[in-house]
Amino acid sequence: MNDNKREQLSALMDGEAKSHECDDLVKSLCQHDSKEEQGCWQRYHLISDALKKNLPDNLQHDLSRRVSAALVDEPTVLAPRRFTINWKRYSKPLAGVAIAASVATFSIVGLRVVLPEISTVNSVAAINDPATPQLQSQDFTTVADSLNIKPPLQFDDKATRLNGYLVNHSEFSSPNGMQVLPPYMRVVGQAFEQSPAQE
Amino acid sequence: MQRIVVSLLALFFSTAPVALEELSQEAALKWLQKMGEALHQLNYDGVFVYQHGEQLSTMRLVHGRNEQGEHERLVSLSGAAREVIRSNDKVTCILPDSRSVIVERKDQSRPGFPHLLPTQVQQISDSYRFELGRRARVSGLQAQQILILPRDHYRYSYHLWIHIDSGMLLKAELRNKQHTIEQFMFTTLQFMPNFPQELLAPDVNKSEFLSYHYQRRDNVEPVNVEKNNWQVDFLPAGFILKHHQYQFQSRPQNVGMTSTSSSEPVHHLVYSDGLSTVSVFIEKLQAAQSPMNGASPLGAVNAYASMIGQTQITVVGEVPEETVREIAKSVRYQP
Repeated sequence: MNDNKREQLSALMDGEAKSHECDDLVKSLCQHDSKEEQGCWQRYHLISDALKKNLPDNLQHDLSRRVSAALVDEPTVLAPRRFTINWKRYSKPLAGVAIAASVATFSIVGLRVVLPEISTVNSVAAINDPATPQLQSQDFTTVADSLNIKPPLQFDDKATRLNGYLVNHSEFSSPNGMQVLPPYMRVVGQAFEQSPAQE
Repeated sequence: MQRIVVSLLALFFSTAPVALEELSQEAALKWLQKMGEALHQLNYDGVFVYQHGEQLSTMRLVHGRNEQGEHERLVSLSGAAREVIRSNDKVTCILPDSRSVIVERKDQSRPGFPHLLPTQVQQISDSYRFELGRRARVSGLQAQQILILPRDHYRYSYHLWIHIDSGMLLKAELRNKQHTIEQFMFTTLQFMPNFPQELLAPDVNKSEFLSYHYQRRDNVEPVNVEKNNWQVDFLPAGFILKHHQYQFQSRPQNVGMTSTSSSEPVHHLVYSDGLSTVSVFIEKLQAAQSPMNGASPLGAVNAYASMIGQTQITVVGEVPEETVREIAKSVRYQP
């Protein structure tokens, strides 16, 4: 894989790729034998997440082990050259975090659609995970340590979101219509305790 | 001659039930108007039980009008002592379980205490029919039962018991075809000639709690409904868009969290058939937020969540699960 290709992937991730390049890039990423591109794409997300402090502290060990095993199997994973490129690229958004947030969301959509079998978030976690010591001394850990990055607090954001929706819905119960029951009765009485069951 | 008599009789018997039904409908509507006024005009202090599924809770409801305006205070008497105090356009939620106080102000265009107008009665009658039920004794008072029955399976029926003297709502049941889903009934109720402001003071010492104040934020672009790319393709007949906002939303959260607001502004579309309300929330998720999928019931309120790409679609409403599910599945993005 050449530098040009890496630049293109990086641009795709940032939403800056030229529209005629996008289709080709996505196609080449989806190909079964393009392990190198897929690895590169994955690591760009790892770095992005590490720098934006999006690492979860709730780790899924089995999954992260599988992903880190895959990383170890790929000798090109930690090529120093790639690291330098990314470092420059991602040191920019650090200054303007607001812009970066939307880009990250976009890229992860792309990743989930294109490469459902690879999980970026959990593979970053694997690097900070003591259960995978083989990766401890490697580049990304150093980056994370030197920036003193801590994973964000994990909480049940599903229940919180549902309750938020319930409060906001209650505010509008029977807008300009007939109000039968006290609109906040369900908020006071009981909030959602379960997030929805998976279908 | 005989033929004429027969046809006249037939005409009489065929129109009589219709006429009776109309009379019953008219009487029921009068009761509903009376109830609407009573709920807003009277000063009262009562305790009611609220039952949904296997859960039973007790709450105190204080309502009144004085020189300062219209006020209401709802306190949970079982479990966590949650309170919601409404004073005109200000809503204060006190949540002792998360040691937080959320204060929100509504904009002036949306009254905190909606009133029922004749035009809205017309909208409700498109989706429901009204019937006069029996008289019964509830909370030690004489009550008239009113039935509000849906014209299709996308909403619940409401059975109400209204105090004959004052028009106050004493008991309410929400039912689907098979059984009661949610009910509420006053066990004690006191009417007062005046409303003392002290009744609004919360039970808990909220000075120890974290306080969050919400006002309309200025940095959110105003909603241009024309520009909104999200489309809701399915709505049961009678539901119309009542409100659309695009803003950060308050979120009751646990101790230690610094923010109680959504990280992105949320589209909130409110649809109503005049009686039941359905909210459609459209929120772009952050990478750290976990997506929700599927149904989540809470008494008569049903929620259904689905994902479109990285966007969370959640439909919440006091309607059957089928309704929120079908609405949620019909939401699509139109570039």
